[in-house]
Amino acid sequence: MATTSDEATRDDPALVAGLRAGESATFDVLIRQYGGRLLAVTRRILGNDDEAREAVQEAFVAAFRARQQFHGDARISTWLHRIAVNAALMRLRSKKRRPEESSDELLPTFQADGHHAERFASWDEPVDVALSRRETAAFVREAIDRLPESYRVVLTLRDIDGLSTEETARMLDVTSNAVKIRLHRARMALRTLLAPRFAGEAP
Amino acid sequence: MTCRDVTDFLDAFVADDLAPDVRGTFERHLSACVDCRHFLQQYQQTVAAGICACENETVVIPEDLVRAILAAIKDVEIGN
Repeated sequence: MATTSDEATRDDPALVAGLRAGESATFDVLIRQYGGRLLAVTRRILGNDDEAREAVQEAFVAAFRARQQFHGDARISTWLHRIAVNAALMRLRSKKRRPEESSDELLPTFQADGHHAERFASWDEPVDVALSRRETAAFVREAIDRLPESYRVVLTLRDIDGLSTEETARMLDVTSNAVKIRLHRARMALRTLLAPRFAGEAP
Repeated sequence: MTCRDVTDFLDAFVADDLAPDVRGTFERHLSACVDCRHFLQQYQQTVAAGICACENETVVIPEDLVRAILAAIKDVEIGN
């Protein structure tokens, strides 16, 4: 999860006390400190800026309501992150979504004998070098946004947020096997979308 | 084992979740098939690229949203 790198250190006790007391000044600090990251994750799940804003607002209101239940076992950032992901997933579930377009064209194809129908070359540039260019990082994020919703959500929860298969299955109310299949397809579809850039061709 | 089978098992291979006998067959195919080796490398690079691009994303919350959230919290507080 994006918020686990600082898991070893603890939150400022004054911040925890302010959160539990529901102090407006503390919430002001928390919204400014973590709101951007929460906006990024909810936008990735919902694929829409306006809905992401709504989800972040709902998350902070939910956090305010649940403030007495925060005992400092987890980092505040981790706690808020989980609330925001839940708020985004709730919005996703409550909406009547259009049926997803087929994404088969993003998956690899095979000849009748099971061999790849396409030739693949190696991507020579290391990912960290490629991603150090701001436009390449933006290109990757836009490619994730273009994935079909069910792929995008699983990829976000599993690969980006680092949730386990079982946790993801619980949150989405699907089987672990469904999570595994969607994640695998999501990665293959994303590979197809990244290929023009990473293989050195014009995007 | 064909390229199609290898592709089906790719996620389990990456997660080190293949039974030893299947892993052996998988690796034998990989050592003989350049397309599957490259596809595996691209698959792993894709996962790494997704993580890296999103971890390094910096988003600043807009001031109007900060104010809207604080107002919504105030409403809840008053309602209580």
